[in-house]
Amino acid sequence: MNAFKEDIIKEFDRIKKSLESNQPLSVEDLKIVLLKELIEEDLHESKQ
Amino acid sequence: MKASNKRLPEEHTSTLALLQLTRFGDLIQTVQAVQNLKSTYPNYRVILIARSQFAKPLHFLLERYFDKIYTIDTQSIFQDHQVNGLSKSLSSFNTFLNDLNKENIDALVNLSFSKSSSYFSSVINAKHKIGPYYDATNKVQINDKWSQMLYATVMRGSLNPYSLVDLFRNIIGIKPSETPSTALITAERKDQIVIHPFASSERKSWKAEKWVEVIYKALKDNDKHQVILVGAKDEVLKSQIITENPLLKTYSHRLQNLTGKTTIEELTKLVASSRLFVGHDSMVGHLAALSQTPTLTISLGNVRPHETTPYHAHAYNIAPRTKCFPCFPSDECAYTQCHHDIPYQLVSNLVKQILSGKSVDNEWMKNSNSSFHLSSVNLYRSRFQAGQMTLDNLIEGQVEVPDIFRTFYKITWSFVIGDHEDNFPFPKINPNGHRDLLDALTGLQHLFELSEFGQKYSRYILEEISSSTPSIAKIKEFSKKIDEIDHLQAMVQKTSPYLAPIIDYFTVRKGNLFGDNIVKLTESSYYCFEESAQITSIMYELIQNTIAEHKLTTTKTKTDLNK
Repeated sequence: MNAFKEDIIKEFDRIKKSLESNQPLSVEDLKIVLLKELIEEDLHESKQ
Repeated sequence: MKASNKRLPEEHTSTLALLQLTRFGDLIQTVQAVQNLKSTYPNYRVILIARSQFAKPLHFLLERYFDKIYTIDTQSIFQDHQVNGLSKSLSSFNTFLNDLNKENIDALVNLSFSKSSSYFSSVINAKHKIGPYYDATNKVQINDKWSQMLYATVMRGSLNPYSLVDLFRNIIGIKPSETPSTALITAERKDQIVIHPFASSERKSWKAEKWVEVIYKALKDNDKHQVILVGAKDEVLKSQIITENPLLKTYSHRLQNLTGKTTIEELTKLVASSRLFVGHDSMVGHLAALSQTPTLTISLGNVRPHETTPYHAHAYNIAPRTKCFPCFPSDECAYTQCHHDIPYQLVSNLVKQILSGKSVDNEWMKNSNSSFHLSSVNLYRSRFQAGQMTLDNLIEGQVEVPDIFRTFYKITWSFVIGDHEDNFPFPKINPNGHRDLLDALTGLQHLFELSEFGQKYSRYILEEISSSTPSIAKIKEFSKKIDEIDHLQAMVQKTSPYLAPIIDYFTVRKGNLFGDNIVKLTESSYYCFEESAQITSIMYELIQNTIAEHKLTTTKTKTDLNK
């Protein structure tokens, strides 16, 4: 079980629905996307 | 960045924050870009935001040029994330961000151009943002032209003519100065060659056997010199494959393996006290540039020599003439042809010549190297012109078409975006180059016409809006025409790939129009097409003059031969 991954999937679903209904993203939403990008970059870096 | 006509009060200190989330090499190049910033602008407070895994080992260097360094420790932020979930990581990140946001940042400059840095830039408070950031609709915004050019050109192909150091300077707004870069680190030099035979990916580095040959010859030809192998801890095994090769046994007393044994600070001092650095595109070459230690870089795979050659006046870069070079990291590659196209014999000869202190010029290239070896490579040497680094191809008669276009783009971008004139001699062209230039002329004509149409329809929209009874249907029709222009420009790119930088730049420009209403947006669109017309005109004239010069030279040669 990866609690972080599950949380990210839930939040991304919510963010996607916001964007589809033309609602602006909040700063908190942008932080969540940022954290997802940072962890993916770390994973990529560790494979190199 | 908005210009202000107000003079800042004497005691006011402006805070400039640089966001550089990428790796060691990019951080060092950022340092080189801001080298003179504080002495030129003493009322600026310059802070750096970087990843701790890269910034901490470079702290000895960074602390000289930045008033404060904020390092984001992702290992700590994501500790036990699989158990703790998102909230703990978010809380940890917020602690870091709240600290950072206490700075009263006047301008935040994102020099990283990665997705994470663009999101990061979005959440940092700053009066002005330069470089990419995401807006509330999850769309990338880039407001300044140099960042737009970097985003369009660097990420998409190999026709960017600028060193990343010069691009960073342009983005920050530091004017190029005629004074050549001075060494940041000085030391007395010993008779030693530092070699880093590794890179961040396999496609960017030779296999061990070729390095063994180069090291063997370096030791054989230069009997007073030591060779020192360097690298990171995870490169130790690879280094042993080289040093334990039987061919090097005779010279093992002059071969030292320091791979995994030095800190970056120690490595910097080691390179500074050496006569030459040889390696692939990696951090160590940039460390050598800090002390102006001569560097010989072997460029392979997805490396773009013009962007990442170590930034100093004594840099040599040998690159293959393989058709697919440089590639993209995502390209499939089974054979790595580019690795085979750079002969180790040529590298060994270069090492000997550079260490002798004698000139590496076209005459030496032709007299001391096999023409077979020379035919598969380009050899570049760095030179500073108008305060910016340029690479000259030392092999005469071997001017590549991409090199020709890079020269044209440098002249054009410098004039249109940088507002200064750069001068270069006419490039020499061969029949293939002549054909490619003629193709580009046709493409430029199409682009110019499309730019004129774009201006025309933008003007029609503005005229319709300002009429007494504006028609929405007409405005929509004119807007549709402008959309068609975008589509037609993309088609020109397919037939004239060398014009991709212009088209990509304008795609990014049009995606970042200024204005919050239709009038301002349309005006912005008009100026965008006007700039497009200017750029295509300049490129057209440069190509036309080059072709004319080529015809003149060819006619003169034929006349001389007939006498």
